[in-house]
Amino acid sequence: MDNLAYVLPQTNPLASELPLLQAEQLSQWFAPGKGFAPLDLSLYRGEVLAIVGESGSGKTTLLKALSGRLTPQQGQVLYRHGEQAANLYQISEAQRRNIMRQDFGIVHQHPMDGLRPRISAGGNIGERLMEVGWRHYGDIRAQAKSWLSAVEIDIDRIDDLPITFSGGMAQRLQIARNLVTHPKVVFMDEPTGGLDVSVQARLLDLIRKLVSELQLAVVIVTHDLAVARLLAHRIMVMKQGEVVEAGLTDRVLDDPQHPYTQLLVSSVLQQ
Amino acid sequence: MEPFMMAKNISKSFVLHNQGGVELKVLQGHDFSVASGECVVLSGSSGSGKSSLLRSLYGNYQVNQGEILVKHNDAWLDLARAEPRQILQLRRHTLGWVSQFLRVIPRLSALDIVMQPQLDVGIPHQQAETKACELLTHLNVPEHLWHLAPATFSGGEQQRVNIARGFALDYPLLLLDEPTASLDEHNANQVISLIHRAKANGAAIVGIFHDTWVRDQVADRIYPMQAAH
Repeated sequence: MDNLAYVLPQTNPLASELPLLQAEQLSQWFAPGKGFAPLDLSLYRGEVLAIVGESGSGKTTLLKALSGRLTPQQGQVLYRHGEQAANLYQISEAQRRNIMRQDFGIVHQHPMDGLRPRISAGGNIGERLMEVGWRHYGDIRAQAKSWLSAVEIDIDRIDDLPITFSGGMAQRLQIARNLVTHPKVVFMDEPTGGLDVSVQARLLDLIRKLVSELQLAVVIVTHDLAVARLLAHRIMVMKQGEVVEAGLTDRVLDDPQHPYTQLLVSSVLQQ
Repeated sequence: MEPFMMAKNISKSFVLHNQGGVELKVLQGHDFSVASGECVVLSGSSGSGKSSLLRSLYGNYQVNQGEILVKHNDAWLDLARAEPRQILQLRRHTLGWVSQFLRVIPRLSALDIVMQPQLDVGIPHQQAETKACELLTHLNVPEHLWHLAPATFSGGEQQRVNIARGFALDYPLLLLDEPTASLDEHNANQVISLIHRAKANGAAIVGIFHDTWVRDQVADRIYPMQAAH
């Protein structure tokens, strides 16, 4: 029976697939404890990666560097689309803008950072479509309506300004604005951060559903381990700019190896 | 018989860094295998490492030593060293798990919870729903609960939703962590019949069963365990 292991080939059926997004020796180190130390990271289609850690651990800086919004001091970010791999910080500004507009979505913690307050809800969604070439008003409005209902906003609110929306509703609008162009990768920074618990649950469930239906690749920054457990396939734990532990979400949370991860996990109140 | 899963010389300890670096040895030098169509029951007193072994076999605990080989796509995958997404793929298609408790997802109905693993592997909605309804009926989950989120269900009802979810796909390898713990005799018997059916379909099963009478009905073999030290 021992020999059996050698009879069958020890192959990796997934080896042929290349990561959608890949960071190599990426670093942005302002000062000790500010930014993040060199790290490697891969993200595949349909995969959700959570970056957890306390405030000041470099999570948000890393998210910016990964999403094309912050030129890193060191290392590179590769984005594969079609047959090509673009090195985000070596291509031209115009090419990078193009990738970010067509293929990336960014969900900010504060919805108003990602919305236009003086444009209607429908306009907020439609604007993204116009940026990628949609011109027909009827089509754009129809698409906006369909996305409002996908994120559970009453379509009667289509002409209202986002500043009249509640926090949870505005966050859902921000998600609709991001997903309407069918991005390949969505970056989320504490998307449930400032929301009431009941609103959080609804939003998380919505994100979970959309991620799986659209097969999105997601990088989500959160300090909430419950959010990570619910949404993420993999988790990366950061402390003072360094990755101290990474792996399968349930493995990291149920069998944490690093002292800091153990501290984080044991600090959560049992429900 | 040819094994479907083999654990070779696996050991596991916990190091509690924030409690003086205490090291707790939970598994030491286990050799273990299970074949298709066979049910192996882990047996031992409380603290003998049954749950830790089962969790290690699922990739939920990281063993410190040894190999855990599972047949997957006609190759052996070593769970102790596999990439996270290999483990996830294995869990999606090959390796099923029924825990003692249902981890409730807000707002998801009982029916959706049972359908989810089937939808994840591309089974059409209608077919997944039929199978889910059949299992919930078999496990006596009242029909008026199917469209409700299980957060408010009783412990036994939650557990039966959990079991339905675990049996909704015909996993070639199924790990059961006290699936009958909070069930009455009638419902425990319903679970036993699901286990028999899975075995007849060729599933390899590893389980922990607290009740001797349940164990006697499902076990082909007992794997005795003692606390590591």
